[in-house]
Amino acid sequence: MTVPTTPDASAGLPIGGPPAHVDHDQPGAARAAARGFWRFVRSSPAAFTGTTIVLAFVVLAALADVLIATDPLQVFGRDLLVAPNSEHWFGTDGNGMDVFARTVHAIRIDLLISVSAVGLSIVVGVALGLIAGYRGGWFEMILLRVMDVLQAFPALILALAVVAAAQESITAVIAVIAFLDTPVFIRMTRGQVLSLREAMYVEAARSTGNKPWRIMWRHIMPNTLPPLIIQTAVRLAWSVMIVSSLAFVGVGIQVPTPEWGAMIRHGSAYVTSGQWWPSVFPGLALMLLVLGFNLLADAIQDHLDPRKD
Amino acid sequence: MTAHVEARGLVKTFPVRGSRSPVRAVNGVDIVIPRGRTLGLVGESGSGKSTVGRCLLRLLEPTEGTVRHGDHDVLAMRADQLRRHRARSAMVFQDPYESLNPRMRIRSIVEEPLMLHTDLDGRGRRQRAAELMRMVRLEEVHLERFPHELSGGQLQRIGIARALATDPDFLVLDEPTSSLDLSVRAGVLRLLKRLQRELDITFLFISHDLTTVAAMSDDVAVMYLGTVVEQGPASEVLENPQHPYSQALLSAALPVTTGARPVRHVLEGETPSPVDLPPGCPFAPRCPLRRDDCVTGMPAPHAVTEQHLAHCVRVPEGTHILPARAPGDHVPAISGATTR
Amino acid sequence: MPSLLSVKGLRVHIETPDGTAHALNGVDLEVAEHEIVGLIGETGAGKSLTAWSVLGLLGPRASVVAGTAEFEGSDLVTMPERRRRRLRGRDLAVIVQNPRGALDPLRSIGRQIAQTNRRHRGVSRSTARRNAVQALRDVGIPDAARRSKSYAHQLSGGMAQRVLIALAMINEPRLIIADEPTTGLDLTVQAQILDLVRARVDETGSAVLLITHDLGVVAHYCDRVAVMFAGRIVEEGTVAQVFGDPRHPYTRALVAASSESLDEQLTEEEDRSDPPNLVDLPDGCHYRPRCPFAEESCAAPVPNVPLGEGHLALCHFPSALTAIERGTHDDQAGPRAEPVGEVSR
Repeated sequence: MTVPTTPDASAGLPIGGPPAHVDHDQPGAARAAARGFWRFVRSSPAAFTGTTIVLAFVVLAALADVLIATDPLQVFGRDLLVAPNSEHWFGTDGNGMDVFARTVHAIRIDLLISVSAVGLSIVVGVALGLIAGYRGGWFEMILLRVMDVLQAFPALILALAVVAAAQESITAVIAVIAFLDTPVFIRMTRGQVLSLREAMYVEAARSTGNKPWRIMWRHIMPNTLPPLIIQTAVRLAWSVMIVSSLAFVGVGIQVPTPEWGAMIRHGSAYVTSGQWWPSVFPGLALMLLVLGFNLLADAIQDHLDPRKD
Repeated sequence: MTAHVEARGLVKTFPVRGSRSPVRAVNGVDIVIPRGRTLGLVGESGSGKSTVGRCLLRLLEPTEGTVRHGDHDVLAMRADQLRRHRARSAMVFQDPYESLNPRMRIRSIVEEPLMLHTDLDGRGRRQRAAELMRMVRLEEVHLERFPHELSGGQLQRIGIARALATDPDFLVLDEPTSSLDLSVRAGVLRLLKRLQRELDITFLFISHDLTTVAAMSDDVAVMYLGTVVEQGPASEVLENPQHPYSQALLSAALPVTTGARPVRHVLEGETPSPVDLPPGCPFAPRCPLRRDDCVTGMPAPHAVTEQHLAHCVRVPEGTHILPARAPGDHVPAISGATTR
Repeated sequence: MPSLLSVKGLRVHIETPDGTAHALNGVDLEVAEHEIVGLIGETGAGKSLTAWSVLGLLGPRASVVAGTAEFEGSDLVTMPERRRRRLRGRDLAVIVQNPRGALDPLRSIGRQIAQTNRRHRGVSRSTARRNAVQALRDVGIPDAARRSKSYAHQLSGGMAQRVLIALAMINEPRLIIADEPTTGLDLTVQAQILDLVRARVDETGSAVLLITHDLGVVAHYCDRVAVMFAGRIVEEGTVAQVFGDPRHPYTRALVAASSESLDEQLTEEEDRSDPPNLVDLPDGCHYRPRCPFAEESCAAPVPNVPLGEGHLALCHFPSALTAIERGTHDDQAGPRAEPVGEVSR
């Protein structure tokens, strides 16, 4: 009773530390956020592992040029399909390119696409979800029906069709993933708003004479954040998978651009003849990153709801 | 005395999914509160008392009726007029944990009405916030906290400070102490009493707790299933209830006594849902004194005394469902003064 | 009267992000047959936690670090969960707040009650079904046979609470732990339900530990009452002793708060209700920071002072209190009663 279920514990501490609304002009807000983050990291093995994996990938992506001397596009002319050794840690692929350098550089493109796609869908999805949930009426009805139609489409096939038809692949992949993610954020935000709209503090805000947009922005939106953060981690994992899946089936990103899906596709031809490294290493990297995001999502969920275990 | 806040023929219905007849949460209620006085609105869940409070503030749109606050016809206002009018009235909610935004600092919560309704600059708002904290007997440091860092009693004081920020003259108090720990309840009630006296505010005090209603109210109205069944001066209604429902409700209250347990009349069943209300007296199906003409029409008010009205056809012949108490035969309640 | 439940020195710690919360700090509590014992105190005082510890239903972050809770002679704290589970629902029953949440939404209420009866008493299917209907009839549910086929969502709050009582009573438990059983119910419904509980206790000789924040309920339905603050019982005795002559300053505040007159002379409004910080409790008396009578010596370990006929108060100056109120208190005047047991941190 006392501690785990008191409102303070359950009110939800987004990973940014005690209430995420923190007024940024407040001195000490950054420190409080850092403390909150550190508390989250230590809260469970999943949180620690997930954070470590995702941070490691981000650092590797950011410093890829500095850390790795080898150009991912450099062809080591005669060294085709060399097994992992001290010079080429992950070996070389069928074009004679260094698999390690390519695997690391691929983080960039995979993260770039996923993060921009998910970011875009959050902006659009949350805005539409807020309006739909708070205003309701015809706008909400039309929006919901449109989403029903869109979501009835098999996601991967839609993505395949659009990306295959598009000229410029990276933009197309971002657009199509954002498009697929947006309904998720719309629905989630709308659901949150529908329940928060009835919250007593929202009624209180109305009774003090707040305008509707201010109620939405100031009183409802900040309280939709915790599930949003969880969903973001889940969708990032999903998006990385989709980027790679598209490349794997041969649309979107193409070899020689370093991208895991494309690398796996290209390398899979040699697996039967025993040269496993061109496909297995990017596969492991993909798996690890998705695992990292998923662990993070689970850990955030547990962290935000201490009663749940 | 002239009315400061007045509602006539208030009706509020809510549509029910899958049913043609709506819920009649409030079914023809008249409310009159003179300036600076308190009307206690008593009733059980489903009686419509909170709905009445929200209709008076137009947080809910009444289906029928009129609401006046001072010289204003509240229901005639356009949205922007109503928003401005909200500076003159406010509500204190039942649950202070849920009525304060968990992600806002107390300072933002208290200063928000000032930002919306006054031209005060940052400094002026800070001054006013500090003044409000003194008024509700909290300290300025509390302004920098988040709601989860304060106790229920302190939070309710914040709720009161927010309500008072723009110096309103009418407050709806919706069970303001029912979710508070007993040890802080009296403090909050006394605070409200003092503020009312100092600031000349009109109160609608909604509660199911008869003890607090008795302590707070000048007049009392007892609600059952969307209608007022009895109303009048607090002392008369609470000490000499005439409507059988008021009597049953009062006898179910449990004062803190150590003496003999008072005689109680336990009603059968529960308040039915206000869909498809029976014709006639809403209490008739549960009433131990029911007779045939109770179900033919809504009973007219009978004047017990000049101010004290009971809506029951049996008032003239006497309605006591319990043996009448001899005058002064009160069950002694324990108060702070009791010692051995 | 023989004691059914005997809690001794119960301490429970809860792990929180801010450190270890000392949620229960040596709770002693007795519940005898034929008795309804009220457990009162503010949110966070440890009322429900005491109940959950006794029932062995603590969450993963909470643990019993010391103490025993003997139920008919065997210690519930050290008992294997398997045995405890056999006891719960049979000799030990629980009634919680929010009855609808406590009922299975997918099984009819009659079936739930019958299955509980079968599981713990091994009666035949048809007997169990008959018992279930009878149990519903006993708690005043009209048309019980038909009603037994209803599901939780079809019941009103008062009805669901009755069903929960029927469920708790079906196996004729020796002890019922009721955690705010009527909070949120209407006054008239509350009276119906508590009358029912009282009648069952008087008939069957079982006992009830009634957790509530409503002093009126305690005054009308309980035999004895224990007042909790910051994880300790600060005063206990019969209802007449505790409410008629409260000796702990916290009890006095509670009783005064339920007085009908809002005496304006009383030191107004000051809200000293800062919830006690369970992670860092003060030495000695935990109520010290809020106590209007606190003195420096209150930082010493608090004695549990017997005041006669089972009335106990955990306070340095339990006898002095009345003197303080008369304004005649000086340090020598208050005879300090002999402590029976030091409660240390």
